[in-house]
Amino acid sequence: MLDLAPTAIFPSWNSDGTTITLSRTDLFELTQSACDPVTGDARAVVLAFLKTINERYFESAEKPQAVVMRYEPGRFITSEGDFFEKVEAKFRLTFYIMFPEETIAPEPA
Amino acid sequence: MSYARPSYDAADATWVGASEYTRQPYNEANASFQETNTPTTSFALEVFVISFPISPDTQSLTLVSYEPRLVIDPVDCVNFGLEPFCPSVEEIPVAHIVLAVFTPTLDSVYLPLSIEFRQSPLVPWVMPMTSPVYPPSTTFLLEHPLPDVSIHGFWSPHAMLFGWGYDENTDIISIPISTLFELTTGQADATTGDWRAVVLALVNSMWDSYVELDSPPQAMVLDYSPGYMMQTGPFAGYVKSEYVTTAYLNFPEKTLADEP
Repeated sequence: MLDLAPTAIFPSWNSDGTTITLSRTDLFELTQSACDPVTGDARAVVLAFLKTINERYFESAEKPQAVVMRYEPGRFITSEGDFFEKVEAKFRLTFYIMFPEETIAPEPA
Repeated sequence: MSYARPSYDAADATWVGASEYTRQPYNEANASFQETNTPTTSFALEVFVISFPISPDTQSLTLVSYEPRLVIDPVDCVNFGLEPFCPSVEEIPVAHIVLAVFTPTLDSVYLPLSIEFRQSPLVPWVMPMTSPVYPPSTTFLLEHPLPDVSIHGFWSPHAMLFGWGYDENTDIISIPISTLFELTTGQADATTGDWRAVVLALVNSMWDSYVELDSPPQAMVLDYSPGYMMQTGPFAGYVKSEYVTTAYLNFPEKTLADEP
């Protein structure tokens, strides 16, 4: 059965109606220093969220159809440049959304 | 321009306008050299001859080249490219091969392109900040960036998700629901909510913040394709949109690369 509860992705997810909370350890390899609101690193936060979402998505036995995720492990950059000898990885998230509300479409019957 | 071929001055027994490449002393033992009846291979060495005048209008340079000419049998040396071998000279003192070097002398050179360049109007490289091209508000933002605006790739979590909080003691992250794009309280509920909507809200909010950055990070690039309306299939009538995040990672650590 398709489990759409936020805890399926973030086990410690909680909501009091105005604020959501989750444990840092739910997010893949996110460090404490990167979480600091002012001195942290939003890039690391984005990467941690995407890695976590992708990992749980691919682990789930039944996947939704209105959201499709694809992870391209990337290519090793051998040409001279800013990211010489780094790996370029891509996260692709495809959503089917209602227009013009821009909210997620219901799962097909 | 003019140039002169090497000539032999019999009176002084010297070659004029030529330099000697190799020497072989002339003596009785090699006297037959004068007869030039030894199979010979020679090449004409005249390569470039510049025709004049050079004018600013035409800028034409005529390059005249001669293909190397192979001479195998004993032939009349007059036809050789290396004319210093000419046997009409009674005595060829020492030269076997003579390379003639012609140095063109130019009275003046016109460079029309440089003249035109000097006459072209100057193009300002840097537009001054006080230029009326910029509206006053833009000038203010450029001179006084807001604290949360990314500078040189710095992007804080608070700048990404307004209201982002983190408690080091409890290790808990908190985000106001109202700051997540179009996320409702019901969708955010832990048990009855919808993680698809949560993910859409998170990704859209991140992208919204990223595109507003004056100097976005380069090791993490967020892209969004608005997509198109599906015409067929189970999502006909819905819009298919795509978010692509490109991350540059260290190898093999898989950690985010430093900003260049």
